[in-house]
Amino acid sequence: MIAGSLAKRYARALVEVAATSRELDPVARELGEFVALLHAERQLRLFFANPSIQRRDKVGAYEQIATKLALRPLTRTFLRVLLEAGRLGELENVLRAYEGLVDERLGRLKAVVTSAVPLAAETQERLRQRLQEQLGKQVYLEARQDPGLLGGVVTRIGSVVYDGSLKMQLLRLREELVRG
Amino acid sequence: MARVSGWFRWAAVGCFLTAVGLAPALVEAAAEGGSEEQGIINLNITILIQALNLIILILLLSRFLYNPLKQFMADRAAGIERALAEAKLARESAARAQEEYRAQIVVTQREVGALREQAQREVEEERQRLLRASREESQRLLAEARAAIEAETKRARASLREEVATLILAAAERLLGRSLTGEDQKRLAEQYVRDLGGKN
Repeated sequence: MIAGSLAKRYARALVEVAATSRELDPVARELGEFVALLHAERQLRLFFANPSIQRRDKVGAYEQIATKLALRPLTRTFLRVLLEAGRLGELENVLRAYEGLVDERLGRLKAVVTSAVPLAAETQERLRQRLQEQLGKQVYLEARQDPGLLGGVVTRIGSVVYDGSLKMQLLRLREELVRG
Repeated sequence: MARVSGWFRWAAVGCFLTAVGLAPALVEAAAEGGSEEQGIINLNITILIQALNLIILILLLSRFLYNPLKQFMADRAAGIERALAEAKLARESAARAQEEYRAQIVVTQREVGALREQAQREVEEERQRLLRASREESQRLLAEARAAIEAETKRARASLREEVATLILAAAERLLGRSLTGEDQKRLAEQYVRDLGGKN
């Protein structure tokens, strides 16, 4: 709860600054790329999390990475602030809170669409339109793949889930068989 | 005792009358004999003296033998009567005691009978109680056993159904994983979008 609250405070401050400079979405995208990099590079994650490494060394390494990623000044500064405050481990929570605040500010919703195989662009567009019609708000999709679904699509918007996967249908069938 | 004294008196009177009755004959016989020769019995003064002696003897006997004997007999009779009375009293007492004993035996027998009946009743009640308890216990055990069997059967069926369902699900997943084509995936996604629109 405390971590969530802290992440929201950071996210709210970043949203205010990004909104002023009209960089809400680019900042979110760059933060997402940095989070993905940390996920992909375990050594890098351990390096930033190691308390025995001097903070200035961490900042030096970060600056090199930020340069390679060509991060915009706002994103770059924000991440450095987090790093210097020893809160880089909260980055993922900050990103989620930031995305939620940006969506709220722009009056839009994020739909996480998971499918067994990548969806065609036109299918994604039709799905987005359907969701907008239903919810009366602008919707943008975040596509994910999960072969475990076997087939079909699962859409999650906030806490609401529209599960049309074959996996779920098989599970329902199994429940019916078990109940007899 | 009265009968004995009467008999003795009549015997004395008989002896006297015999002596008086025989006296003339004896006198005549003595006269005849005296005239001719000495007979067996000679009527003379001796006879009279003997008769008188006899009478005196009878009187003496009556005075000194009969009366003490009569007294003795009377005492003996009184003793016997007393003994008989005592015996009668003892017999009556014994009879009363016997009656009492008999009555007591009857009462005791009744009490024993009542106690026996009560004991039998209590035994029967206890037997019935034990029988009821045993029956209830057996019914309870039977019900528990039935419930346990039913629960176990249900559990086994559920487990079997679950196992079968899991196997079916795994088989279906394998089959779908092998048989679903890109076209099928596309069709499923399109179907999903259509169904989503229909949920309004």
